[in-house]
Amino acid sequence: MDNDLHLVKETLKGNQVSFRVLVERYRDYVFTISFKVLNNREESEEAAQDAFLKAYRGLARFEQRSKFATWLYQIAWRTAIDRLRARPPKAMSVDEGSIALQLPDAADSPAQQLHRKTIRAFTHQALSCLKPEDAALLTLYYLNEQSVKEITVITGQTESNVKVRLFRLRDAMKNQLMRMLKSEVKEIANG
Amino acid sequence: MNVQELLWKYAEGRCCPKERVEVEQLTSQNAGLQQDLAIIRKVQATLTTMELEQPSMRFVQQVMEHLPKRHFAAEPLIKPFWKKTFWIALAASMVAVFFSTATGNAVADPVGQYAGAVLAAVNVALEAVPPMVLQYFVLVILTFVILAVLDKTLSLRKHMNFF
Repeated sequence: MDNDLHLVKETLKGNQVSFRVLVERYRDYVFTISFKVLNNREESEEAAQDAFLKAYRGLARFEQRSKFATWLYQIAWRTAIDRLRARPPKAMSVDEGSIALQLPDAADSPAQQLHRKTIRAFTHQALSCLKPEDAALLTLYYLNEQSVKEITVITGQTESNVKVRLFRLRDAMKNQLMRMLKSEVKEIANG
Repeated sequence: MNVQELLWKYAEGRCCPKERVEVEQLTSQNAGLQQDLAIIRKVQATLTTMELEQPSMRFVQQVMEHLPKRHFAAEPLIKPFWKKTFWIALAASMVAVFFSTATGNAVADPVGQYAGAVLAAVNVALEAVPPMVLQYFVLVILTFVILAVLDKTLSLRKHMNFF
């Protein structure tokens, strides 16, 4: 966005109001990336703030080779991943040869089961059960319609790696949903 | 590309016409693939309508409060031309005051008769200036010196900053 570049230039001149506009514009995206990686609101908020501060300090190094948003998401991604790596791992990744989805047992109350029996709820549940890095990758792909190329810049992975991971993650979600919704699958297929 | 990848590509609308026909043929002949495609479309629709998470209300304020301090002046407070002019004028004034004092005390004129006449004229002019004007003049000089020092300090800070 050209307007972003203008705001960056103004910030570099010492105009902090311009930076505030950038923070207001991208706070939700940056926070969502952090949240998908860290899965903890408090920690994600700290990570998102940290990302903005890093961006502010490094603004002079922004060379405009990518969009400002891509550059900012890259910082947010790295900040969140660094925090995540400081924690012990919880879920398995698709890279570890097993599907990372671990949906909870259907031992909830009837009301909760009824609520969960929608594709949307199941998908969100499936997404939250992914390894944080994988969930964030899917979020980046769908949330702000980032292209695979932009995701390679943000995550530092190769294009083929991103493509393979995206396919495997989505396919894992689909298979899990099919297993959970055995009875409804035919109805869904019939529209 | 395997069939499943093709189905995802189809659901995203990224298939070329040839691939589209291929997917439509496959799904019309195979009920399993038809179910796969239906689920893929549902997952796709959910993922594309994902909502953004929102940080707390004070998020922006907190970021702004933690920003490091920057230099306030992008340009020097006093332009180099005026700085040079000021220092030359100040030096000239000091020389004039020194020699006018010296001639007033009947010390031997070190720069000859002509210079002595000029300095005598400066001395007379200074005596003619009301004391209030001289006070203002001193005040202007002091302000200028303070600005020059401030300028230098800010410039040093700028170099110590992140940029």
